[in-house]
Amino acid sequence: MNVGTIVLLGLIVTGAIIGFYRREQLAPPALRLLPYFLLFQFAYQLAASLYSFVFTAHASNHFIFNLSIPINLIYFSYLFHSVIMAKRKRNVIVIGLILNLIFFFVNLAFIQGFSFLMTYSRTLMAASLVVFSLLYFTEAIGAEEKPYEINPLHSAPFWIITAIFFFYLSSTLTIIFWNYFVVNETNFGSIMMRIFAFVLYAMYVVGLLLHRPAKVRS
Amino acid sequence: MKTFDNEVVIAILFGSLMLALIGAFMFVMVIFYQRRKIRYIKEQQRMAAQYEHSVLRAKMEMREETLRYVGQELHDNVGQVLSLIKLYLSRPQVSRTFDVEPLIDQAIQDIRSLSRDLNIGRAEQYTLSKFIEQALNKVQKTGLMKITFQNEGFCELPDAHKRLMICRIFQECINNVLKHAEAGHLSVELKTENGTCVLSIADDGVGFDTRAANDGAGLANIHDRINLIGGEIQIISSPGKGTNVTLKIPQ
Repeated sequence: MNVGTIVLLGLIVTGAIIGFYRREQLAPPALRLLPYFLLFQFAYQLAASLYSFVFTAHASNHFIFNLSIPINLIYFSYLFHSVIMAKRKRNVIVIGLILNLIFFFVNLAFIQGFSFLMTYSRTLMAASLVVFSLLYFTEAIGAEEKPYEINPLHSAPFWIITAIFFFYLSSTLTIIFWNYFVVNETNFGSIMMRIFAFVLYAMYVVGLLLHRPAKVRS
Repeated sequence: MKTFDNEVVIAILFGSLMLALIGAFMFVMVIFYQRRKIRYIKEQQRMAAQYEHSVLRAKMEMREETLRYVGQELHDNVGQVLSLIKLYLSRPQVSRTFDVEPLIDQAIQDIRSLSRDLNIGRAEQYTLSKFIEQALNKVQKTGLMKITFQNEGFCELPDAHKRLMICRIFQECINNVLKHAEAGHLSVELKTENGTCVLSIADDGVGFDTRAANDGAGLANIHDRINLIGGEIQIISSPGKGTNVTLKIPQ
C-alpha cells in the first residue's frame, strides 16, 4: 500500500465523517445514505489493498472490485432518481439500472467471469452514469417549473454528480486509450486514475461541506 | 526514472486540465442559475404589479357600477316622487285634499336606501354574504326575475383584495344574466367545502355556447381575475339550457 492509496482512503473517510456530521441537513434520502456508501467504498478499497499487498503476495484482487460494481450501480441510480424531477428521465434511469444489472450477471456468468476485472461492465456503468449526469444537467439548465431553486455551489448533489460525470468520463477514456495504445505504460494509467479518484472524492467532501437545504418557492 | 518523471508530469498536467474543465463547467452552471433567478424575480415583480393593477381596476369598476345604479335610482324613483310632490303642491285645490306626507316619507326612505347602497359599494368593508344579499336585493327590485339565495356555513375571505375581486366577478355575472340570459329564475348559493368557498350562480335563461363565448373579453376578464387570486371557475351552459357559474376560492 503506497502513500497515494492511504491519502485516497483518508479522503474517503473524511467525506464519510462530514456526511454523518451534517446528516440532518442532507436531503433527499439518497444523500443521507452517502456517508454509508463512502464507508462501503473505503471498506472495499482497503480490503483490495490489504488482500494484494498484506495478506497475499500480490494476488489478483479484481474480484473485490467486481463485487462493488452492482452496489455502485444501485446507489448512483438511486441518487440520480431522487434528484431528477422529470418522470421520463427517471424512467430512463430505472431502465438503465436494470439493463446494467442484467449485463453484469451475463458478463459474470458467460463473458469475463469473476476473477478477471470486469471492464465491460465497468465501462457500461461509466457510460450510463455519464448519460444520467447529462440528464441531470439538462434538467438543471432547462426546466422552468421547479418548486425550489438551488444555487449549484450550495448543492451537494450538484457537486457529487459533476464529480461522477468528470471522473467516469475521464477514467473511461483513459482506460480505453492508454490501455490499447500505450501497452507498456502501465504506471501512467494508475497515476491518472489516482488523480481522477482524488478529484472525485475531494469534490464529494466540498459538496458535503457547502451543502445548504433548498428553499421552497412560494 | 526519467520515464516515471515524465509520466508524473503528464499525469499532473492532465489532472490540472481536469480541474480547469470542472471549474469552467461549474462557472457556466452558476451563470445559468443566476440568469434563471433574475428571470424569476422579474416574473414575480410583473405578477405583483399585474395583481395590484387588477385590484385597482376592480375597485374603480365597482364604484362606477354603484354610481350608475344610484344615478338611475335617483332619476327613476326619487326624482319621480319629488316631481309628483311638486305637482301636487303647485295646485292649491289638489293640495288641500291630498296628503303629500306619505310621498315625502317614500322619498326620504329611497334616499336612505341609496345612501346605504353607496356605502356597500365599498366592498372591502363588508362581508361577502352581505354584499351578495344587497346586490340580489337590487335585482329583486327590478322585478325581472325570481331570486333565491342560500348561504350555508361560514364562507368569508379574510383578504380584502380577494373579497373585492370576488364581489366584482359576482357583479359581472349578475350583469351578464340581466343583459343576456332572459331568465325567469336566478339561484345563488354560497357555501364552504373542505376549506374552500364555493359560490354558485345559476339561471334558467337562454344559455350560450361556452366554446364560442371564450373569445369574448368579458369571460376572459372573469377568468383572469379568478386566476390572479388562486381560485377556479367552472361555467356550464348550452343554448336553451340555462347557465351555471361556479367559483371556488381557497379561504
